[in-house]
Amino acid sequence: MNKPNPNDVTLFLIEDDDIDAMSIKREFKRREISSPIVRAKDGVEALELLASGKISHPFIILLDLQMPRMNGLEFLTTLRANSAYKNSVVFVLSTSQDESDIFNSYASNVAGYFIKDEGGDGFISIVDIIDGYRNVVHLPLS
Amino acid sequence: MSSGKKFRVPTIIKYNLLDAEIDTMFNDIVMFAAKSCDKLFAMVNFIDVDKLWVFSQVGLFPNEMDQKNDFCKHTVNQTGVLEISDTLLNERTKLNKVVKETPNIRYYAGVPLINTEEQILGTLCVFDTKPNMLNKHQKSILKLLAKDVVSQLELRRKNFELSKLTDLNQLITKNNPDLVFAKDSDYKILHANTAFLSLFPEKMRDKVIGSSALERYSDAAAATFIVQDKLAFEQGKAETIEKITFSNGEIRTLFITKTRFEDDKGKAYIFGIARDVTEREALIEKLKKSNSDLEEFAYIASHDLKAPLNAIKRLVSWIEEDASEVLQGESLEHFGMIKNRIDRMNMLLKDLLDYSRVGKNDGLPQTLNLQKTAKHCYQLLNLPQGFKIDIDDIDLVLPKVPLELVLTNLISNAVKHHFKKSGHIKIHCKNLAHDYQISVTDDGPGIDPSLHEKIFMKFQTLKPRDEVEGSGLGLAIVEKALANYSANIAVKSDIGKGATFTVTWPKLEASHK
Repeated sequence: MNKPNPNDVTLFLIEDDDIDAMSIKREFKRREISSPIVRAKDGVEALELLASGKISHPFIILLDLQMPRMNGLEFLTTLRANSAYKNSVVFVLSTSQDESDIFNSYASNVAGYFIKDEGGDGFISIVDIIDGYRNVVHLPLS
Repeated sequence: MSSGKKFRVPTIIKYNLLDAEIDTMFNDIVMFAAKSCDKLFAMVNFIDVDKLWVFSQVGLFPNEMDQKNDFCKHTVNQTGVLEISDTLLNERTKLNKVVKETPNIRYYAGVPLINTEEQILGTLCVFDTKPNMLNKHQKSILKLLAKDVVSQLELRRKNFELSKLTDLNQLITKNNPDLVFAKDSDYKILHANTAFLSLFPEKMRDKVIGSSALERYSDAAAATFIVQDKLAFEQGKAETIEKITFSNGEIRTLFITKTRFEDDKGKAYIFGIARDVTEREALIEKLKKSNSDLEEFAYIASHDLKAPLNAIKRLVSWIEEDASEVLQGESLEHFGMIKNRIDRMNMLLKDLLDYSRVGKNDGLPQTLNLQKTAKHCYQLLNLPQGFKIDIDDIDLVLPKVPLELVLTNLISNAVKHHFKKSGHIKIHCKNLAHDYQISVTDDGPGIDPSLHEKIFMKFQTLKPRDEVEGSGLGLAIVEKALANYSANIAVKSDIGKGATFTVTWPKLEASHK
C-alpha cells in the first residue's frame, strides 16, 4: 500500500511572495494541518532543495508562475525532464489568467491550475483542495 | 442688330489688340479686298478701337476716325453688304471730308465683322473715287474676307487665352509642393514638375525626363514603383504610401496617387501626384505610440497597484484575527475603516482598469434582446428586494459588451443613489430610423440640473464616498464606451423628480440591411 498518512505529506511551496506564502501557512495552521511546509522562493531554489534531499517523500508541489530567476513554467519543464522528479504532483497557483499559461501548465502534466483571486479567498480554497487531496490520494513514495 | 445695346468686353481687350504686332495684322486682307473688288481703297475698322487698317492703291487715305462713323455706322446695323453707289447722293456721306476733299470718295461698300457670339465688332469696307456697283461675285468675296478677319481675331483670342493658361500652368508646375509626374507605358517619365525634379541632384535633373525608375533605383526599389504603376495601368488608379530613399540619402514618406489617362490615339499613360507626408506620418506614429503608452500605463498602474493592496488587506485581517482580544473600541473601528478604504481603493483601481480597457475588442454588433440583456446585467448586481425593473421587449443590433457595460452602470447607479429601500426603474427603447434611443428612468432623488455636466467627469461623485461608495468613474466609462460608436448619453432630471439617462446609439450600416 502506498497510501501515506496525510500528515506525512509535505507541501513544497514554490512562491516568491512572502504574503502569499504566509496565507497558505496561516490557513494550514488555522485548520490545524500538521503536514510540513517547505518553501522555495523561485525555481532555482526549488531545484536546489530537491537535489539536496531536503524535500522528503511523499510531497505535493504548489507552484507560482511569475517568479524571479526561474519562473514556474521553466521549473516545470526542468522537473519533468528529471527522471527523479518527473512523477511529482504539482498544482499551479498563479495570478495569471492567460490561456497560454494554463495550456502550458497542463502540457507539463500539472494536477490542477488555480488562480489567486484578489481577495485572498483563493488561498482558502486551494488549502481546502490540498487538504482533501492529501487525505484521499495515493502518492508515489519515492 | 445693334451691338451698342449689349454690354460686352471691349474688342480691344477681348482680342488682345494692344500689341504692336497687330499693326500689320489685316494688311493682306485689305489689300486683297481692294484688288478683288477693283477699288482704290479698302479698310478694316472696329467700333471701339482707335485704329484703322487701310490699303490704298493711290496715295494716302486720310487716317481719321470721323469718316468711319459717317460710312460705317449703318453697316453695323445690318448683316449683309451695305453699298453707297454715289456718296454725293447720300445725305449722310455727301458732307464728309473725304468726299468733299482729296481723295474725293464717291463709292462705299461695307460688310459687318460678326463674331461667333453674333456680336458686331466693326466693318471691312472698300472705297473708290467714282460711283460704282459691286457685282455678286465681289460681294461674296467681301463677305468671305470679313469672316476671315473675324477668324483671325478668334484665333488670336484663343492663343491669348491659351498662353494665359500656360502661364498659370507653369506657375502651378513651378510652385506646387506636391511631386507631379506623368509616365508612359514603359514607365518612362514624360513630365515632371519642379518639386519632382528637385529630388534629383542638380546635374541629373535634365536627364530625368525620358528615364525610368529602373535606371534610377536599385532593382528592389524600382520593382515596388513598377508594381504600383502596373496596378494604375490595369485598374485606372492606385494609391500607396511609400518610403523612398532620395538621392541625398534622406528617407521620406510619400502618399502617391497614380491615375491612368489616354491620349487621343488611345495610348495609355499614368499621371502621378506624390505628397510628402513624412512629418504627418511621423506625428501619427508618435500619437499612436503615446496613446498606447498611456493606455498601457493606466493598465499596468491599476493592475500592479492591486497586488500590494491585496497583501495589505490580508495582513490587516490577520492582525484583526490575531489581536481580536486586544483590539477594542476606537482601534476596532479604525480597523474597519482601513478595510473599507482598501475596498474603496480596489474599486477605484478596478474602475480605472475598466476605463483604460474600454473600447478594446468589444466585438461586432449582434442581435440582442434588450429585456434579456438588461436582466442579465441586473442579476449580476444583486439588486435589493424592493426594486422593480420594467424593460421593453425589443431586439437591438448592437455590440454586446458595451451595451452590457452601459446598462450595468446605469442600473447600478439608479439603485445605488436611490433614497428609498424600494424603487422602480424603467428601461425603454425607441427604434428610430438611424438610432436606438435607450432610456433608463428611475424614481430616485433626482439630480440638480446644475450638476448634470459634472456627473460625467472622471472621479466626480455627488455624495461623499463614505455615504455612497463609488469611484466616480461609472458615467465616464459609459461615455467613453459610447464614444467608440459615435453614441452619446444625456441626462434629464431635477431634484425630487427622478432621473432619466438617454443613450442615443447610431445603428450600424449592417443593421439597415
